Amino acid sequence: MKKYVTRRILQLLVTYFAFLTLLFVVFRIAPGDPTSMYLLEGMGPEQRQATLERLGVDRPLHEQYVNYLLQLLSLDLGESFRYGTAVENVIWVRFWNTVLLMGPAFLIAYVLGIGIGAFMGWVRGSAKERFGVIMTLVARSSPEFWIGLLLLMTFSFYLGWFPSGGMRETGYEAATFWDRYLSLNFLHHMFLPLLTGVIFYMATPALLMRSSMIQVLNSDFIEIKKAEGHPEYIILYKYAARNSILPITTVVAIVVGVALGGSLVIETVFSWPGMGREMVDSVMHNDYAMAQSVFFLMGSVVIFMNFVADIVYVFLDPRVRYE
Amino acid sequence: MVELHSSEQPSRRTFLRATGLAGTVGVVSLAGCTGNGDDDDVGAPDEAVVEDPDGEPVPELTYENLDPDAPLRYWYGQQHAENIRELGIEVDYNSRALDAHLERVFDTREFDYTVMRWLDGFDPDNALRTIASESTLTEGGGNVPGHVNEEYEEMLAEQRGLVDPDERQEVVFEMQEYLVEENVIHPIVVQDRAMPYRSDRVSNVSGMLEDGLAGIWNMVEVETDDGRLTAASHEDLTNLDPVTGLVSRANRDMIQLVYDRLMHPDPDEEYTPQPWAAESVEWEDDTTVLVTLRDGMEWHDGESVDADDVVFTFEYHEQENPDFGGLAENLETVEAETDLDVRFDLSEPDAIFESVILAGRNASLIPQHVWEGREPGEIVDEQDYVGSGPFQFESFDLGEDLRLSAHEGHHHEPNVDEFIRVESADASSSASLVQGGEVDMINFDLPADQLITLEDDDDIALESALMTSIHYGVPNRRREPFANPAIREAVAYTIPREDIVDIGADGFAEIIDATLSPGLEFWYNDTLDGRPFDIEAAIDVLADAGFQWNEDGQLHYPPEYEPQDEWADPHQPE
Amino acid sequence: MSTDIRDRLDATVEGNRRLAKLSKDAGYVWGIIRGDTLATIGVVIILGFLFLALFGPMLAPHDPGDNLRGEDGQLLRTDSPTETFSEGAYLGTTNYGEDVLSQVIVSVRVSVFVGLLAALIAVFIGANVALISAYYGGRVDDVLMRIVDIAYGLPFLPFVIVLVFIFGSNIWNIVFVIAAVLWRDSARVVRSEVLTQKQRPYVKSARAIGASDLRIMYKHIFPNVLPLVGLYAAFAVAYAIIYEASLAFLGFGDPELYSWGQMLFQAYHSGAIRFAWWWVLPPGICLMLLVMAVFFIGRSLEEITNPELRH
Repeated sequence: MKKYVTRRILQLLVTYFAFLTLLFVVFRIAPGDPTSMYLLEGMGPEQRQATLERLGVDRPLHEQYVNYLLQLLSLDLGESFRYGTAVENVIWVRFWNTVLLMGPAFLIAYVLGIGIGAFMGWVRGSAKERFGVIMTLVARSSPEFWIGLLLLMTFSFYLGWFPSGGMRETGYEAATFWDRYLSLNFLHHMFLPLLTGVIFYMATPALLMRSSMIQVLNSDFIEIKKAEGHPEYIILYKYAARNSILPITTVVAIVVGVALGGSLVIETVFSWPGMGREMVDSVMHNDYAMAQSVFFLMGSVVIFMNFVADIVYVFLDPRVRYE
Repeated sequence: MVELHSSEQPSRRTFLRATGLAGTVGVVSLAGCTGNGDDDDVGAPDEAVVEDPDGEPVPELTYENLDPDAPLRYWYGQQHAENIRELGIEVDYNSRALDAHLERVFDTREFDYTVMRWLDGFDPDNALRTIASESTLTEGGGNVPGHVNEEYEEMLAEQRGLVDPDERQEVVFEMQEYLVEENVIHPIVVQDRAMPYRSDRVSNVSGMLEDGLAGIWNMVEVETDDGRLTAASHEDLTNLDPVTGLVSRANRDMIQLVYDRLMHPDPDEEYTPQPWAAESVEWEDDTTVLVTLRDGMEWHDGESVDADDVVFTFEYHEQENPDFGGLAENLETVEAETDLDVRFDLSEPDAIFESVILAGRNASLIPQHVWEGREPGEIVDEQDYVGSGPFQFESFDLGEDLRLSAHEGHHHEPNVDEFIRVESADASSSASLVQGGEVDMINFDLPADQLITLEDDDDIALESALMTSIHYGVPNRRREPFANPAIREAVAYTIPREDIVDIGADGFAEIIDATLSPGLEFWYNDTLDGRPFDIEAAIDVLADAGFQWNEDGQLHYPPEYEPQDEWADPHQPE
Repeated sequence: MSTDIRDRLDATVEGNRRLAKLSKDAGYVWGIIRGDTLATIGVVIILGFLFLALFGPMLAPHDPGDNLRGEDGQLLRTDSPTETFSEGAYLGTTNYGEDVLSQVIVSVRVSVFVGLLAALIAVFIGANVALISAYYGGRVDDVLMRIVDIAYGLPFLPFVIVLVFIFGSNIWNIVFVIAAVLWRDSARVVRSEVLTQKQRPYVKSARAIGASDLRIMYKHIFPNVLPLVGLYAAFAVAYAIIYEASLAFLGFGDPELYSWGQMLFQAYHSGAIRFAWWWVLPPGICLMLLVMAVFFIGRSLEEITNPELRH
């Protein structure tokens, strides 16, 4: 066991290293360089060379690569060419904007999804289950942007109940963290994007939970409990649902990853100033340090969660061979 | 007349777009099944169609365009590519994000045709030099067509030295005529960047060429009910650095509010530069300019603005501003004579010194006491955003909003107390914000369709703003097929300019026949005949030059023509 | 010696059994689908879309790029069906006066094409990685699974956009790029199934009679994980369609092809989203229907891979 965990940790480090390298390479082969956008301003060849030198991107790739790794080891994310300031000055605000939208969306989706899934499993074979399955599949079949557009058209443009985008009313001064992320104003703006995420991400846990429930309910274990004369709801919650959750926890990491990547679409539809858009923009502007940082930040969350899921799974289910 | 395409391609767009997929999905052929009957049947003259033409086939051309972030070009690029296909030339059409596009068009020059919206400025020199001079031919330079001509170089040098506007105008007219005649570029349209504002609570609006509501004059003159002006824009405001942050329009628009320039182009004076932070600008002779500063100007931190700051500004830009050096090649020395007087010495007479340097965006005045001894990247703390402009910095939340307040006692003190710029994700959400009354105006381009919708709103008015940049097509004459002059000429007739104005731009554009914006009334050569959209005419040009078509409609060079080797131009990289 | 013979016998019996099973599979799958109303609906919808994919351009009443004008010569700009029905644009027009119905019909092709091809490539890569990884185990498994981890670490859509930015946005690149990221799902899931299969006696028997690794992997194990591969192929089709549409909606679609995502992109950016329901609803609903049909069938396949779900 200990050996397994040690090995997994070592592998995790290697994975991170490979991930960083991949990002470094991919962003460097992207077309253009950080001065491309200056070309339309009439930047001449000498000035261009001078700028590339100032930014340090004229040096050989291996040298840049080593610098980049060393920099990262000292927890320095580097300088963003595009914003003309340290990456960390830009990145954290965006990161929290995304996490505070996608985090709750994801949590609500999971809790609701598991609840609905458990219910569908419980009433299996009934018309209610059928309806539930169809609705879940419909939600799963709708790309996020489509759900977003429908909500936008209905609740914002037609009914006028919610703002069409942004995080706050214009001119709203958010002085404290509380103001920024917990004010009514913020929640009002957050509602539609949140709902979009909830609808889309609910489907996977709901369907998984349903399958898992059905399997558990079919098992002898439940039959025995029934025979023992426990009331229905006790069987549902205490025995069936609890035992069905395990397989769902293992995909949490994956769904989180999908959700973080998918935030790009929600952010676009609802003008949410988050990380998704920054990922794309920074690469397109060849803002290497920024691109590496945002992708690394998002990616490492998922890689780490996968790692944790693997370890936890071994603890929870000793049948899994870890040799 | 032999029908070139109609028999094979009754519905060309559908068909062409289908062929790529047809094989895989299992569709054998859709030919002849989709007739709508409304395609223009274009034909080559009978005698020019031969079974096996002797000349080489005209190679496929690569059409490079931008992604939908440039909505008008994105739309008409495809239409245009279709029209070129009608001539019997294959087109490989691409649309890419800006940096990928620039790499091909400016660096590797691996393209044959592209459309651009560029060449802004209130003086014609920059445009005429950028597009076609030898100095911009190198990698990364603006001579996208790959054009070299000695006479043109002479005219270019001549007009820059002509301090007399009328004499200069004559040369500038001649240069435009040359560019059009030689098909160096194909002028297309100039766009009206009309911008919407809430007429129910905003008054005294004054848009200007190119900048529209974002122009400095509007920003200081506009009035609102509550003294607070809010604007939405969907371009990223990335930083407020007046030295290296000038790359995007959003940045420039805000930088000019916080940082003064010595002069600004004045819409009331035909956009010629007029003193701004300067009290007066006087030419002692052709190469000496004396600038006197306004008395009593202050930086936002209360320090006074003096001549030493101006000298420092120019020295600093010379060193750190990537674009300044090239523009100021004629600037020899800058010296402070008194607290308020600065003398500029030029190496030779320069007609554009005022417009490009004193009134240009690359010489914003910066305070010596803040910037001395520091690099641009170090000026990032909010307390360092100190200018002397009509607005002063309050706060900036990246991706959300920028807040400025009026600089009291400024020589052009704004009529509003406060200005807030809100960033929206895209044009659509900007439009929603102004329509919902959440902001007072939009200070950036909106696609024409959004404008039409807003126009119907009683509480919203549009302020027209013809651009100084123009839309134009560029044939890359470094290689075939555009090394051939007849093909350059023919393709000039394939640009659907009326449709671009009517359909693509919903009327928010004008057709142009010269290579400058007609907004620059004094410089625009309105005596030129344009090349109307006319596929027949294009085909005639080719037929007259001896081109032939085979029976599949593919275009072949005249039998005696020897296509140029790739990169035949001596000035080209590799 | 006797155990050896018994192993061989086992292997042969096992092999025959599987052969028989395989031959019945087609009928078996069809039986399940027919017995499941949702799956039948799914099949009908998909057949409908396949038909449109094949013959759509012939059925479209207009060239989807034509700028339609009314009798007065005015462009039919973003007009609702009530205004344009008499002009032959039965679902109204776009901001450039294009026929919405024709665009919706012609767009089917892109979704079907990308869905099928990207899924095929993704599952092909995924299944092979899974087989090799699980079969050889040890270091091979470690390396391949860490690669899968990295693939999961790449935020799907942003990374796909980056790749499209690098390689250009033509339809082939879009297919390959989606496949290049989508393979991870099937790799992960199929691998754990192969791990289970590896413990089964038939693998041991096959090894005993001297079958090569390749033979065991592809002849013996693969048929047993095929239902699961099929299920993940269905999922991959659905996701590929969703991702292609999302790409196009974000403005990174193939500029020369009509697709539903592209239509919605145009509607969104021209501001028509605020009122032009006739333009927004058809492509979105079609997209939903197509993906839903795939999931309906997928649900049936799920019952094949996991018979306990039948009740």
